[in-house]
Amino acid sequence: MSFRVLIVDDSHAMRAFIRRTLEASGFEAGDYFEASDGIEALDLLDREWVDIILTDINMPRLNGEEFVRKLAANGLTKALPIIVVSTDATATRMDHLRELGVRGYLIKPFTPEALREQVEHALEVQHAG
Amino acid sequence: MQAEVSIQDVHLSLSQSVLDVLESMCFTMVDGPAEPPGEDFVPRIEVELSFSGARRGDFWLSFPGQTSVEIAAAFSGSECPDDEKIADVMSELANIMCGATLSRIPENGLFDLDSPVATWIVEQRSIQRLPQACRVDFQIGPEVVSAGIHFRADA
Repeated sequence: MSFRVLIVDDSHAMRAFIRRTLEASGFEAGDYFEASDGIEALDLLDREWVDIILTDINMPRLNGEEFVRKLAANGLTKALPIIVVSTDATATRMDHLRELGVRGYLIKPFTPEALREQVEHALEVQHAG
Repeated sequence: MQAEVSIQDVHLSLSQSVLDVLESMCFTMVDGPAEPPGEDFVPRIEVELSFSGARRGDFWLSFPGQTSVEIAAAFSGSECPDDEKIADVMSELANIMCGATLSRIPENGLFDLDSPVATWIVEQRSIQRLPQACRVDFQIGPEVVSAGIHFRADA
């Protein structure tokens, strides 16, 4: 089974790194989609269905937290598994995002193994539910 | 009001963060701590970014030319990264190192990072660094990479 993955980050280098790392880990992704901020991601989600979203927090226009809030408020997207990939490892931020329904929280820097583990765990929970 | 943080805590956080990023995301091991580069000029790329929140301040990162190419290649998977890609990678690394450093500092609250600004330094010039900056220098092959952070007095 292959999955459709959306990567949201304002850094092109980081989007490419996440994609390359997932590919190298053997994770089966059917399609990758990329967006540079929350607004671009929401536009994309109007046209495409994805199985999982990996998003940064610090982004221009619409940051990751507001993006997650908008997804949670939409009946069509509120069950989508979301993993936050961020430099911000403060407990307050992580707790707040988990309250909004975020499935996983990956702190930069991370290893390829940690990335794959988070993605697979989020998808397992989704399918178990 | 934030608790005072010791320079030792900041130095340890900065040092661990730089090493973690280089190892886990750039697959690069440093040879060890180094003395700050001397007077001999080496072309390099520098990245600066400001942060705000519970504490305010600035972070900077300096990579000599050849090391920046090798690090950017390792991070991006591109064999011959051009200047734009190198600057993009170095900016992202500065962002990650700064965030990791702030997250490691005991009792640090929420923070926001500004967009990093990358600059190529291609000729000798004097760069003023704030005297209270905490910095680390690491040897990678024949070159030295440096990073530093300082907190503004009004933070």
